[in-house]
Amino acid sequence: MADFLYPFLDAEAGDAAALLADLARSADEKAAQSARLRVETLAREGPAIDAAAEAVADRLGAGGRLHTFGNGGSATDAAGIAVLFGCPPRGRPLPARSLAEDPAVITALGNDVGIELVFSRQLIAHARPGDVALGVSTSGTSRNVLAALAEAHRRGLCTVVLVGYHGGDVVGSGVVDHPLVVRSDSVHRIQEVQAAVAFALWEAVQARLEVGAGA
Amino acid sequence: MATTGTGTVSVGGPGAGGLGRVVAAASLAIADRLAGGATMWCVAPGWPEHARHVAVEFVHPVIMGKRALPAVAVDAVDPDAVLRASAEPGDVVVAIGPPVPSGVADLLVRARSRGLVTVWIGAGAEPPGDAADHLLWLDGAEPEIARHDGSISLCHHLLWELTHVCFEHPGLLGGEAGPPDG
Repeated sequence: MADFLYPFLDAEAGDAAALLADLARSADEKAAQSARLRVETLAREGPAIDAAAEAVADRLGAGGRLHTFGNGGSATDAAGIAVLFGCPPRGRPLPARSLAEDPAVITALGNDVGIELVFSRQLIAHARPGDVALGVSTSGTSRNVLAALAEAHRRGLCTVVLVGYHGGDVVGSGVVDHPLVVRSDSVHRIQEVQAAVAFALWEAVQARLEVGAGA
Repeated sequence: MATTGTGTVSVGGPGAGGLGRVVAAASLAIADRLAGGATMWCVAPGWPEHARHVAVEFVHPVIMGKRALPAVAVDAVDPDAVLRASAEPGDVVVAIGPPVPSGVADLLVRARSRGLVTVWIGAGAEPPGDAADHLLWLDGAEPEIARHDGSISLCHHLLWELTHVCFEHPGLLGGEAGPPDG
């Protein structure tokens, strides 16, 4: 496994070996932290995830659609959640899409009305009262995510947010029906566990729809 | 509790197959190449959100003070055509996805033949060890679950975090051009 190393002086080769050992240890520690945070979060947020799943399953089971949104890495996570619901590895596909995926729409809105409104303006065009809005924000302070949740709430949508740290502004905003909080100060660990929370939410929604279909 | 833990996998912990060691080697190789002026191409046929996540992370770091690094998400229908046209020898390609049906294996063979450093993050049936210069594999994970439950995200987050640690050791990094933004 040493063939990736470029020729070093002897001293540097020793330094490289020491650095690699440190890096490997650090990676394993971070992975262990992520695993611990996942277990803690799924246990603590379990009741909130179940409550969100009940509301989301009610909406989507009755013909509502899921709209997801976020910025940067959270935009890609929002896209992944839309794929999970819309093209699931198993179970029932549900109508879901990300509002952060189309550069023509994002740049048109960003250029004309500002980045703060890029998601809320799309909800004005697309949202129906029976739909679900799901925002993703590690900080809980992203203004366009907050604006979209407020717009969704005003229009009667069920609102869910995945948020990190201690919940940020969004939890106390009064516009979120189901805040799901990953309590950590690391953006990376928050995002990994937010994915696990979204996955648990999806599983619980599928389970409820299965029960509903069988009843 | 119905919602806890199902479908998730535990990866990379001590004794869990040495993921940390592989991530460490891959990160040093990436830092070495980027310090030399290379571009990192992120390709995830079928899992485009992960290619974009890696690229945005490197280009616009979430942690203040970390340098912006040149990474590109390639989500063209034919990513090999993009790499053929735009990637240069010594560049890095980070592929993310399962072996089937993503076509990653063939893409990496061609990329290596053109002198690119290859990293493959994936899950499912493990490819041969020489399928990439650095193979970050989630043993025993169902690919479409690992895609969504945070396991794949953990792998590329570690790659980013460790690459930036390597930049704190410029004496160990090659490259005539010096670090970008350096």
